[in-house]
Amino acid sequence: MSDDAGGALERGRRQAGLSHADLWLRYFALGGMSTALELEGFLAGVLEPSIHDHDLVAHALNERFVELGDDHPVAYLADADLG
Amino acid sequence: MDASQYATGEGPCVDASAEGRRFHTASLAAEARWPVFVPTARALGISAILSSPLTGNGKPVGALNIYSRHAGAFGPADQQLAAVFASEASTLLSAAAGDMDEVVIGRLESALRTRHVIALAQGVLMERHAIDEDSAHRLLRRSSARTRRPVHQGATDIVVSTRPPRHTGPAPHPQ
Repeated sequence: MSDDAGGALERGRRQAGLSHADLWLRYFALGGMSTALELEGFLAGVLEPSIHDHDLVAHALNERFVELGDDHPVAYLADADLG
Repeated sequence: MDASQYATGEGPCVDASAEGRRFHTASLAAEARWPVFVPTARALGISAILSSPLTGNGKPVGALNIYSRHAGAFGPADQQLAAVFASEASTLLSAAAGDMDEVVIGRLESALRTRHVIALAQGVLMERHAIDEDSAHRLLRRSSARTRRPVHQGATDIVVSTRPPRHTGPAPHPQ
């Protein structure tokens, strides 16, 4: 995963107005297996998530953006065709 | 499988949680207590279920559910082990509940229900399309992005679609 992809997740989290705990809960509800601490590591760029994990976090953020009336601004890695 | 029970409001998990006692079904083929749940479970290849109640501070909070594809899989020793495990888990839940407010617990319970529905739908898609777990999750996400509906809503639709259609015509009249 590129640094930019990791940074995009953190930018998305801030833009979505989600706390780390809120985002982890959404990621966990989607089926994520990483701990809240590991998720913070992904967002801070000190741990590299798998592509699957990255896209779960991206989707958790994008579901929040849809709730806010936005589209899917956070890019996926494996799910590039999701837009 | 747990999600199906939450969705339909019936099944051994629901009853074990509500009644605070263990439910053991050695063979779903001979089980008549849950007419909506049983066909769904059998369609997924489940043959035996053992549900042990979980409590937190003396109140029912859920159930520990163990499923098997083999009828008669849970002998007396297995049932006893499940009971011990559920008891230990209840002790931990009671300790944890003292430190968590009801809002946090409610959000965790909601997240667990969502997660269960999604996992169940993943299983259905894996079976239907002969794909792996991550690919099944990708299908769910793709559908979610296309329809702008949360993954768990599409997952619920898939779980519901596994239920056999109800007979709506007139009952056969004995000749």
